[in-house]
Formats: sequence, C-alpha cells, structure tokens
Amino acid sequence: MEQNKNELLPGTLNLMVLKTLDALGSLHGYGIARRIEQISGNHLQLNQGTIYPALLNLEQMGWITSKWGVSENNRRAKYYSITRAGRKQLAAETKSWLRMSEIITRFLDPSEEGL
Amino acid sequence: MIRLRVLMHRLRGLFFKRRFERDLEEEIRSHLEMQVEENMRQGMNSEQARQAALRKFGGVAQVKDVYRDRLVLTFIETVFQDLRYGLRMLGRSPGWTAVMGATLALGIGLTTAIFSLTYSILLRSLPYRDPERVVALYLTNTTAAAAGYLHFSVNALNWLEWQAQSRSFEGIAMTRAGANFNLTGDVRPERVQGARASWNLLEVLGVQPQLGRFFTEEETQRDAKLAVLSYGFWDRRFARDPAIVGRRIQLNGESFEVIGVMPANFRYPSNDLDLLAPLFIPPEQIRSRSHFYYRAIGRLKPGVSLQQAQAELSAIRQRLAQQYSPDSGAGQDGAWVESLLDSGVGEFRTNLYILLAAVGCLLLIGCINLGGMLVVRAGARTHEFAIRAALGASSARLRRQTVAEALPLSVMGAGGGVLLAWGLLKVLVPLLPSELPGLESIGVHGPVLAFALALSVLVVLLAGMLPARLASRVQLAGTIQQRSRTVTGGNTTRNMLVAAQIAVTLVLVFAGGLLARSLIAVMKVNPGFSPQGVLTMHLQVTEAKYPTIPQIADYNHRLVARVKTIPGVIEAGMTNRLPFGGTVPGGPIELEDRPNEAKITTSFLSATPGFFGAMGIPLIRGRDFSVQDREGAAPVVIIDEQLARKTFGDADPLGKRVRFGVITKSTPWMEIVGIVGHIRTFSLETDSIPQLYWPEAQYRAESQQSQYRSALVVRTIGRPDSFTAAVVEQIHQENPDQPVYDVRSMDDRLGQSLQSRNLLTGLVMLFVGSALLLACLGLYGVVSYGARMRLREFAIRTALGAQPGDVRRLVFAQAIRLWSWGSAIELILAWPAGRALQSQLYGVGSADVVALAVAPGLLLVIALLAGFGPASKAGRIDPAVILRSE
Repeated sequence: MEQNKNELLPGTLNLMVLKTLDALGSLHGYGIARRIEQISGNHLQLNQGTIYPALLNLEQMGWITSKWGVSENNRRAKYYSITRAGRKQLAAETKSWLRMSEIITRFLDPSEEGL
Repeated sequence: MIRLRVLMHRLRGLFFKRRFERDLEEEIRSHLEMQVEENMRQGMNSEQARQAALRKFGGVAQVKDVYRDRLVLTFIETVFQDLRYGLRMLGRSPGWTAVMGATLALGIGLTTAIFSLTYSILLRSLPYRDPERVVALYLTNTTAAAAGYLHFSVNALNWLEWQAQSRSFEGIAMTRAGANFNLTGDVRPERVQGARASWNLLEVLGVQPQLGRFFTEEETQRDAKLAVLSYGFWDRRFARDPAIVGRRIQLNGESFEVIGVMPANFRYPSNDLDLLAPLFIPPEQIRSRSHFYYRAIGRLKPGVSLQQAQAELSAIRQRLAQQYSPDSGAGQDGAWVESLLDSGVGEFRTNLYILLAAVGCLLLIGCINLGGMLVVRAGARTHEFAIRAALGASSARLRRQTVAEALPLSVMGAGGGVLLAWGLLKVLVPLLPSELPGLESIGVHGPVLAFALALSVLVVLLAGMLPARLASRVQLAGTIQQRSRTVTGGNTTRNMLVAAQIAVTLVLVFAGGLLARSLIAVMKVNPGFSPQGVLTMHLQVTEAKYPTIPQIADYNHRLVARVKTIPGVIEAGMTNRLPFGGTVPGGPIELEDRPNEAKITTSFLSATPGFFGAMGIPLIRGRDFSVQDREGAAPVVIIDEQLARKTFGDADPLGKRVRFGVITKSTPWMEIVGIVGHIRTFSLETDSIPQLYWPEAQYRAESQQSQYRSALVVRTIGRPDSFTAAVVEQIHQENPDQPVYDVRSMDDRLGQSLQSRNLLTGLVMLFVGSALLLACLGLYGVVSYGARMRLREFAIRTALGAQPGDVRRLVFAQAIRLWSWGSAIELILAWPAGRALQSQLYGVGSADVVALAVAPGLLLVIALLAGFGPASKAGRIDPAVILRSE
C-alpha cells in the first residue's frame, strides 16, 4: 500500500501551489493542501505542514501575495492569490515540466529502441 | 532581481520576526481546526479528529523551523544571537569586562591620538595646487656643513640667478618671514606678524586671494606700500569687514594700502601670519651677496624630480661662486631641495615615527593582554563548548561565536578610546611646536574615528582568534567525561605570547630610559647665561618716528633707564636677538692683522650697556659697552671666549681690530674691548658658533628694509612674571604707542626650546607606564591562571610531602621563566631600537647599559609581584579539599 503513496519530487510542490491558485483564485493554506490531495487522488504523501514554508518562499519570490481574511465557517485565515509574475512563472515552469516529463517518458517507453 | 527581492523580504523578516511567527502560528491553528472539523464531519470524535489532523499536518515544530530558516537571513540572525549572548556574558562579569574594556580603550585611545597627529601633520596634503610639486630651496656649503649647518636660507643674488637660469621650475618665489610691523593709528598698538613676499608667491603656491588681489612685479620693485591680510588677522582686527580692500593702515609709522585678503587656510610662511607686504630688495644688497635670510620655494615643472632640480640649482650656484670669488677657499657651494611639507615638519617627523612605534608596541601589548583574558574566559567554558559541539555545533560556528562575543568589547574599546584620544589631544595640541603645518586640523574627526573603530575591531578580532582556535580544538569526549583539569592546547602559545609581551614592554622601557636620560642630560647643559629671574620681551621701535641711530639709541636708553628704576630690577639691557629665538644673523669676520686667514663664521649680536649683566653672561676680560660707545665714537666690539680662542689662540685679543657684516672698502675696523662667556643661542642641545657683540648705539648692522628686532632683558630679584606689569607700564609712560610683545621669562624660553623633547619624552613615558601596567596585568593573569590549572598537581605534590615553599617556588618559576624569555628577546631587539632612537639621544649612547639594565630589573620586580598572589594562594592549598572536589 505504501508503494502507492509517492514522494513529492523536489520543486514540484511550488508548481502545484501555483497551479492551484491559478485555477481557484484566492485560497487559504488548508484549502491548497486539500486541493493538492484531491487532485492527486490521495496518491501523494504530503505532510500538509510543508505547504507553509513553500508559501513563504513563493511570496518572497513575489509570485503570490497573501492577506488575512475570513473563511466560509467564520474562521480567520490567510488567503493567498497568484500574481502576474506568478502566472508567468507558472507558464514557464509548466512548459519546462511538460518537456522534461516527455523526455523522461520517451526515455522509459519500452516501445522505443532507446539508448 | 528576484534574489534582491528575497533579500528585502528576509530583511523585513529580520525586523518583524515576531509578527511573522505569530502569523504562522495562527495560520497553523486555523489550518488544524479546519482539518479537525472536516474529520469530525466524516464521523470521528473530537479526539480522533485532532490526532488525525496533527498526523496529516506533520511535525508542527519542524514546519516552524523550516519556516523560520526561510523567513530571515540565518547568518545575520545567529550573529545577532551571538552578540546578544556576548553582551550578556560581559554583563555577567562586570569586573572582567571593565578590565578588558579599559585595556582596549587605553591602547586604542593612545594610538588614535598619535594617529590623529600623524594624519594631520604628515598625511594631509598642504592646501596648495598640486602640493607635491611645491618645494623648499636651501643653500649648502661644505664648510658650513662641517660647522653643523647642513643647509641654510637663500640670499637675493642666488634667487635672482636661479630664477633667470633654471629650467626645472615654473617659478621660484622668495619671502622674508618674520618681517614684523608695528601697527598703530586709530587702533590699539600691536606688533603684527608680517612677511615680505615676492610678487610670484601665489603663483608658485597655486592659490588665489579670497578678496582683492596680490602685488605685481612692478609694485614690488618700487617698494609700494601695500598689504595683503591673512584671514585670521582680517577676522581678528577688522571683523571680516568686506570693505577692507582699499583701506589704509599704519605700519611702522607709514601708510599701507590693503589690497587683498588671503583664504582661511593660507598659512605661509608661518602659522601665525598676519599680513604680507611686497618684498623689495635694495640693489646694494644684491651686490653684497650677503643677507642669507630669505625663504625660497619653487614650483617644479611636471615630471621634474627633486634630484634633477637640486642638481641644476647646485650647478648654477657653483658657476656663481666661480664668477665672484673663485679662490675664497670658503668651501664648496650647493643647493638643497626638499618638499615643502618635509621642510615644515622637519625633525618632528622623527618624533612622530618614534611615537607611532611606541604606541604600536603598547597596542600590541594590550592586544596580547586581551587575547590572554579571552583565553582564560574561554578556558573556563571549555565544558560548555564541548557540549555545544556534541549537540552539533560546527567548529566554524563555535569560532564565530567566540569572535562575535568579543565584538561588543571592540565597541567599548573604540568608544572609550575615542574619548581618551579626544582628551589627550586637548592636552597635547597646545604643547606642539606652533610652526608645524596642519596643527589647526588636529582633532577627532571622520578619518580618525574610522581609524579608531577599524583598529578596535581588528584588535578584538585578532585577540578573539586565540580563544576561537582553542574552542575549535576542543576534544569532545575527553572534556565532557573528565572535566579535564590539566591545561592542554594553547598553553605554549599563551606562554610565548606573554614572553613576547614582556619583550615588547622591555623594549619600550629601554627606549623610555634612553629618552629620559637624554632629557636629564640636556637639562644639565649650561647655556652660558643664567636664566633664573630674567624677564624678556620684544619691542621694536617705530622707525618712522625715530629715523636715526642716535635717536633710537636715546630712546632705548630712556626705556632701559626707566625700567631700572623699578624696585627689584637688578639690571636691564637690550639686544637684537634673544637666545632660543630662532636664527641669528651671522657671517665671516675679517681680522686687521691677518687678512688672508680663513674667515670664521660668527653670530652678530647687538648689546647695550648692562645687557651682559642682565643676561648673566660673565665678562671675562676687558670692559662692557658704555654709553660713550655711540655713533661717532671709535667703533668697538666685544667677542666671546670661543671666538677669542679660535682666532687669537693664546695671543691677547684686546686692542685687536676686526670687521664684520657686509664688508666694503669703507667698513671701519672695530676694536675688541672685551671678552665675554660663550652662550648657546640656538638650543641647549647644539653648541652655537662664536659670537660677536656690537654696541647698538653705534652701528646699524641691518638695513632699514630688513627685519630689525629689539628685545629687552630684565634681571629681577624674584619671579620675573610678577614684574611684567611694572615694566610694560614704564615703557608705555615713555611711549604709549610702543607695542610690547612676546613677554616671557627666560626660563620659559628655555623650556620652549625643549618643547619637542619634553613632549616626546613625556609621551613615551606615558606609553611606558601604560605598557608596564598592562604587562603587569598580563603576567598576573597568566601566572594565576597557570597556578589555578595546576591546583590538582599541587595538591598531589603536597599530599606526597611537598612543603608550601616548594609549591610557591613552582609558581614563581613560571613567572621567572616568562621573564627570562622576554628579557632574552629584549636584548636582541634593544640594539635596533636604540639605533632608531639615535637622532633623539643626547649625552647617552644608543646601547646605554643603565637603560638596558633598568628595564629587565623593573620587569623582574613586576614578575615577582605578579607571581606573589597566586604563589601564596598555591602554598595555602589543602590537598584534601582539592582532591575531593574532583
């Protein structure tokens, strides 16, 4: 069963956070974590806490901004949203990720006569 | 760009760290609550829901840690932490802190003060355009050099020939410094410090008047009555009146027009310059080839070196000598060129170097002390460091911590040092020779502050490196398990450092000893006259009011007669030059019966009847001048015993006739009527050339144009200062317009001639005292620390039967060992140190045995004193207590 839970590749968490914020607009940390779990169909082994240093990092880069707000059940929470620089970064990273994964896929594809 | 943004964010994080952390906590709390709610909605009870939420979140503490690491600049943060920790440590042991801070402040303060002097006097460039191209020009002569005059002032002929022939210079200007004037008229009478200057002076220096203009060549040649004021004089006397240009002032009874004002930083040729007037040179003076009393400066053409210029000027001067007196046998002529700054600083440069070296030694001693104290403290914390290392602190981290802990010390040191330097400079600056360039800019300003701070940080870093090295060498397991009592690494290093410290202290003490002995020797020198009870002052008759020699003589006679009526005045007389008042006019003399003999260079001094008595110069043979020795009477002179011996040997000089000064066919022969004692006229340290006195009432040795000075010497019973008011009052009763200036006791003048030496010796002694204090502290620290570390060993020895005396001896042995190492090094260093001091020594050799022996002797006493406390403590130990405490 543990084999099904995959370790997060380095750098990918940032990409997922950006994508989530790009898709859903303003969202708090918990919401982002839940969304990543849902999308991955619970196949990812994610400590939800790790999302916070990642958010700080993204904010320092200027790709997201944050502001305090009130959640749907009246709880104070910090809401994050993506910036324009963040969208650009997302586009660039998405492209390079797709290209990389294509290369890896091609590399591993048994139908190709590789090497 | 993004890196910069991250940096800014993190800097913000540094300052608002608390808020960021609070935010994170709240975020995590609300995150967990949302998860708990979600879990409960899925049917868990509240406890299960909480557990699951925490599990899912991961380690809250780890998240916070990672978050915090990213929040701020970790490096800066830890440095701040270390600084805070360091401050706390310092605060916890105020005694240590005070001693360390004081050590540092002492070293930094003295060094900063000396640096400030050096910076202002030597390093700052003069306020002229391309100051490195402005040079001072002098004459040399092999005969004069043999008599001790390495170089001397220029005369008009040399200047003119240099101007006309040299190719090395853009221009050569000449000034007559000390051409002082009596300022009278609608203002309080005052003697003003003037100088005569050639028309091209400002071009050579590359400066412009602040107001108005300078003289032209044509105005100089017709001796126009014009004056250019210094800024200081304009400010002091005319309240910076902008309408000053065009006004007329009375100088020496003549009306001069003010045509300009110089800028505030213009101080040529002297610091206390009041005004400049055109330098007119009478044609007969040029022909006479004498009057070597002008200061010449030149502006070198770009790319011309001092050597080239000097060679060219020498060649011109030699051609001149060939042309005028091809076989005078008066020695080889030459020229001397040096930068204007060097010529202004003169011998004081050596003093500054000596002071810098001495203060550098002191700083080194302080640095070693500080290092030693930090090591002792670090030693006491070996255990703590070991535990830190065990918990994962890297050795670099530990090293950084020890250094950072020491940094607050450097702030203390710099602060205390700057205060000390400021105070010291306050005392020091008035004691400096007033002719030094750059005096006005000495102080604690930007560059000096930066120096103090940088020095302080450097010293603390150097000193802090020692314990840091030890800390990083800590052996974990050993230290923690055994609480090791024996000192391991660093012991040798520390002993070596203390030995070095003793050696440096010894060298300083040796140097101080040499200087002190020199000062004592100089003060014992007999100047040839007796200064006690003598009051002196300058007063220059206003020549326009008394134009002829008899008139001046009568005037002076009346003044002296009035002064002699004051009760308590024993004798009074006048002369043209007081001893220790700078250069004295002089030249060769001619003997009537031996015309072909090599001429002896002699000082020419004037005297009135009573002058020798007032000075306390003994009359050896013949008679004093009398009131009958006036213009019209048979010309007479009095010579000193040195001239008598040199010229006449065993023959009787009385009745022989001589000529002196500017000798022409019509110069009369003068009969020698008396022989007086030889005096030192320049300084106590250097013997003067022979002296010849002429009666002031008889003859005017210097032309009207040149600077003529007159001084009154009054011998009193009692304190000379108390007679000042009475003497000045008598003079003003005779003539209310007579400026009287530079009123001082003869002892004061003597003291001033020792000014530089006193200052140098005093400062070096101050450094020696400080060094001894520091060395004492350092020795005590190391010996007592060594003894403490060996308590266990002592206890075992005592338990095995050693007597308290044996243990004490062990402690003393360490002190003596350190001392003997230091003394050995000192003996090696003393020789070069003595050689370096050579030029400042008087009456004592550079390897003086007394100074050499005193230094180690003094330190031995200190070593024994330092060992005394720890030794007696070690002798009193109770082995049972010590051994059981383990």
